[in-house]
Order: sequence, then C-alpha cells, then structure tokens
Amino acid sequence: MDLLQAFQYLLTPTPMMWLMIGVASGIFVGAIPGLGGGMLMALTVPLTFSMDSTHAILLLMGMHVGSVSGGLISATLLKMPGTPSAMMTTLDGYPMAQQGKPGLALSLGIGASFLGGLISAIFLIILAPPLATLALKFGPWEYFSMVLMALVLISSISQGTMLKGLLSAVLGITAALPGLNASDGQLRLTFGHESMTDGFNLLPVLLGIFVMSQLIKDTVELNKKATSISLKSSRLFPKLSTWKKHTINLFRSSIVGTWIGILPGVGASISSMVSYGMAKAFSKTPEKFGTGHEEGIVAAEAANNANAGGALIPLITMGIPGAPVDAILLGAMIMHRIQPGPLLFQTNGELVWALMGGYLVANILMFLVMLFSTRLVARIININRAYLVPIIFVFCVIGAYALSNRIFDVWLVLAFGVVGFFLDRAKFPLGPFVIGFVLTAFLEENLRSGLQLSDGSYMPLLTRPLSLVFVLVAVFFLILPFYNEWNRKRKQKAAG
Amino acid sequence: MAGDLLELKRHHTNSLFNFRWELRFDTAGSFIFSRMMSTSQQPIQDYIISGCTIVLAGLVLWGAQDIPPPFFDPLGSAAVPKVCAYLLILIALGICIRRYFENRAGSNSNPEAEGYKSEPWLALAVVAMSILYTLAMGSGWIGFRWGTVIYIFVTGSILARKHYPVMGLSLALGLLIGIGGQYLFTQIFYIDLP
Repeated sequence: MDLLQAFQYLLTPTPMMWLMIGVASGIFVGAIPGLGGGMLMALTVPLTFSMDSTHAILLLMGMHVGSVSGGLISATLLKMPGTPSAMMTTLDGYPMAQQGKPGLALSLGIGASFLGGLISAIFLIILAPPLATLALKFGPWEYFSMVLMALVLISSISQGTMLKGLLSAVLGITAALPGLNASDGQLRLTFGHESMTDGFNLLPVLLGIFVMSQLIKDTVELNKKATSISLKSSRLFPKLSTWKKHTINLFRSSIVGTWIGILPGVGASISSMVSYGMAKAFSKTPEKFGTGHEEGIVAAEAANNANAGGALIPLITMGIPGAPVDAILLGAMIMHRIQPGPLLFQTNGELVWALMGGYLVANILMFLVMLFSTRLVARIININRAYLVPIIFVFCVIGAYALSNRIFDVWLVLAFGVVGFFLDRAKFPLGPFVIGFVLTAFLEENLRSGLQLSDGSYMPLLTRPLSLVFVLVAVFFLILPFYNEWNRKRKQKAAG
Repeated sequence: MAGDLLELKRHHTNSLFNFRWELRFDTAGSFIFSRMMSTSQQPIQDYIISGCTIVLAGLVLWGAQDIPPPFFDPLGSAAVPKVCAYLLILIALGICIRRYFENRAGSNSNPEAEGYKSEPWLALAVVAMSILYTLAMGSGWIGFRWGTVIYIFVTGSILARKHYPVMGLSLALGLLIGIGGQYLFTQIFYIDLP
C-alpha cells in the first residue's frame, strides 16, 4: 500500500473515527494541567486489545498529536502548561493573554502547531523509507551501539545532571531484567516469587511511571491554583498576514523540532526549548521574548508538534522510540504483535503507510478540532482533582489487571508510581527510565547475537564503521557535560 | 542511621522555622518522608535515592549469584544484571560525591520556591487508600463494583477536605464508575475485573 492508498483507507469512516476520537481526547486531556498524553495513552492501551491493530495505533497516535497541541490552551490561559512540552509556550502565551490578546496567542499556537506537524509529516514520509532501507543493513552490533547512544543521549540532555539521567536509564534497564530470559530459558532475579516469573510487564510499569506518579504529584500540589483568563470574544482562526512575518521562524523551528525528534529518546520539551532559544538568538527583538512575543509562541509550538512527527521516524524505521511517550506507542505495537523496525515496511507495509498518512491527517484534524473546541475546553480545564485522582487510579487498576488478570500488576502500578514520584521529586528524569525499560530486551538480544557472531569478542563495536560512529557519539555526549562544567569553572576562575 | 540523618538535617536546614518544624518529627521515617516530598531538598533526596539504589544493586548482585553460568552463548543470563548492578553503584556513588562537593562549595541548586502549600500527607492518604483498595480486591474481601464505589467516594472526600458538594458528587461518580464501569468493561469490552 503506498501513500495514496493509505489516504484512501484513512478517509473511510472507521479509521477517521478513531483518529478523531484520539485527537479530541488528546486535546482535552493535554489541556488539563497535571494530565498528559502519556497518561491518556497508557490508560487507553488496554482498551485497544480487542481492536484492529491499525485502528488501535491510529487512536493512540491521534491522542499523542492532540495532547501535544492541547497543552497550549492551559499554558496560555492558566500559565500552567498542560503538558511539559508546552512549558516554553507559557513564557510568551500567558503574558500575551494577560495583555488582552488570548485569542491571538492561541491562534498563533494553533497555527504553528498545525504547520509544525505538517512539515514534520512531510519529513516523516520522505525520510522513513530510505532510513528503513539503510537500517536493513544494520547488524546486532549496530543496533546495540545505537541503543547505547540513545540512552546516553537522552540521559545527557534530560532535566537535572547527566549522572541522574544515566542512573534513571540503568534503573529502567534493571527493572526490565527479572523474569524468564527468553534467549536461554533461565529464570533470573525472581527471588523465588512465582509472580516474578513473567517479570514486570510493560503496561503496569508505564501506568506507574506515567500515571500513578503524576496522580501522587497532583495530590501533593493540590493547592496549586491558577487564575484563568477568559476567552470570550477572541478570534482563533490565524490571519494569513500574521503568518507571513513568521515564515522563517516557523520553518526553522519545525525543522529543529523534527531533527530533535529523530534523535532517539529526546522528547518534545527539548525541541521547544532549543527552538525557542534559536528564535530568540535570530530575532531582531530578542528583548521582547518572555513578555508576550509572537515569535516565542510560534517557535515553541511549531517545534513541539514537529517533534512528534520526527520521533516517529526512529520508531518506525528502527524500533527505537524517538521520545519517552513513543515508548507507549512501541509498547502498544508489541502488544498488538507488530514489531517496529526496518522489516516493518516489508512485513506490514500497509500499517506503516497508514501510520504515516494517519499522522498527517491527525494534524489536520487537530487544527480543526482546536479551532472549534478551544473555547469549550478552556472552560472546563480547571477540573477539581478530587474527582480526577481516584477515577484515574481506578482506570489504572482496570488497565493493569486486564493484561493478564493478575493483581500483582496492580501492585506494580503502585510501586512504580511511588518510585517514579520520588525520582521526579528529586529531579531524576523519568524519560531515560522508560526508554531503558522498553529497550532492554532489544539491547540484550542484540548484544547476545553480536557476541555469538564474533565468538565472544567486543571488537566489532569498534571495527564496524556505523557501530564505531554510534559509540563515538555516545562517548562524546558522555564527556560533553563534564567538559562544559570544567570549562565553566575555568572561565569563572579566570574572571576572578 | 538516625544520627547521620539528624546530622544531615542540621546541615541542610535553611531557617530556624524549618528546623523547629522538623524537630516535631521524631522518627527517621517521618523525616525522610518530609524531605522526599519537598521540591527544595535536593541534597538529601540525592543521598537517599543513591543509598536506595546501592541497596537495590546489592540485591541484584545477590540475585545474580543464583543464575547458572552460560552453557551455549558467551554472555549468559547473569552478565547484564551484574553489569547493571555495578553501574548503579558507580553512578550512585558519583551522584553522592558530586553532591558532597557541591554542598561544600555552597553551590546548591535549591531552594526552589513552590509558591503554594504542598500536601504530602494528603498524598500519603491517597496512596494508602489505593493500597487498601488493591489489597481488598486482591484478597477477595470485596469485588470491583463496591470496592470502586467506596474507593472513589472516600478518596474524593479526603481530597475534597470537607467540601460537601464535592463529596456528594464523588459518591455519584463512585456509583457511576463502580456499577456502570463494571457493566461497560465486562459486558462490552470483555475485560475481566478483579
């Protein structure tokens, strides 16, 4: 199935309906501070078990696109980003809304989100097939070194210090180790508990890390209140004249967002930060950033939406999540017996094209839904946590239990929720944990295959060109933070 | 352990008010809990998480001892757990050492103003309720339907803090999700519930 056929399929009622449900629910949940796309997707995965796999993935992808965009509403009207990726939007969106222009702020955000998403969709469609062909040439050492590189990359640029990111990643890997080792049939780290034989299932871990930890955080921050700015008579449809002056900023931010999305493991928050910084650096009026400047909103929103498309590229072509939220998409694919990677184009080409076309359609739907529903969503985003917290936990219970009818999985949700909360509280990033957990089996399998091919030698890591490049990049990102710190201290000393 | 914690507490107390407030917690557990729930207590949180990580790594090493040696591939099942455990210890020590030198140099990245009164005990109550809910269903004391009604009502009421209209709505939502949810998930989505 090529792209045209994919569109023919996507424009039929059923896939369109799932995409629409995904986008609309994503926007709604993304707009509520404290909830997010990851939470919604993790809670929805169990409901998709009985669905057609393509519909399920389209639903989840719609949720992802919708939630990234929905965060803009609360970032602008409440000064509380609905999702972390909308953090940079808050800097200019809220001041602009305070100045009596909430409609302009939202229209800029909606338009930039839409165009950022479209540009990244074009990159996705153009780049994914050749990258998948290239990835077919990868052997186990290339995959092993690439996953290592991804883990180092996400650790080095996450919140907090690199050591914390690395610890989080290794904790994620360790959490994935207990249970039956598929390659040699050995049980490990079960400590004699029968429930541990299957190890920790992906879904309860995701529900714990993404949902339960957030519920605990929301409860701790129950008194965090925001003053909502009214959106009564503001125009939300972006004017063409407004866009002409932002063309370069828009394209630059979308490309930066897409590129950062392609880097394995790096999420939308980093994209919007980098794009915002670049927009400020190239701006003729950098002093206006942070005071309600149009360029700031355009840069942040174009980048975070473009990131979603970019992040699909490594997921589809290599089976490596481009961002922590994509780990849920990867998990859902695996649960639906779809193995993302270069062979996916050959084994399940219809799904790949539907996925890529679906991403494009999801962005168009997002634009339309945002235009017509923002006013309504803006009125109801301040939902009382007393209702949300217990209901969401009940859905966690249902989701975790449904997987294999074990109450042990519900305990896992609670345990990983508490662990995730404390890690987050101490500024240990959770992204590396999730990516580490999801990729451990893949990492170990490729290391094992590589060692079998090389009779136990690790030398192919350095003798195979692509593998060497990945190792060098990993080493570079491992050293970079230490070098930067040393350099900063040296300059401080020199300055007196 | 408790002595060390008190020593750390003295080091990281920023004001007399905080110090007096902390003195009300007479056990190490309460002290750790109060510190871990704060967003402005980076040093002690780092030490506690690193300590827990080292304990976890010890557990992994202990568990890896029971794994038989490889018999057909060079790696075996024990290698990755062992490497992870050593890495965890190394990184955790690195975090502690870094934090120690940062403290000595007086370059803490905290405090971070929260701007609102945090509710750690409320969060503890919600987690406790969630544990009770899971325990009750897991041990067969109560089924999903009525367990959910009670859980949503009680947890909602705790979070509502005597705001009666919210408590009333929580009860209504509990009935809706408990009774309606059971029908929806078991009869329509064919999902088993506890």
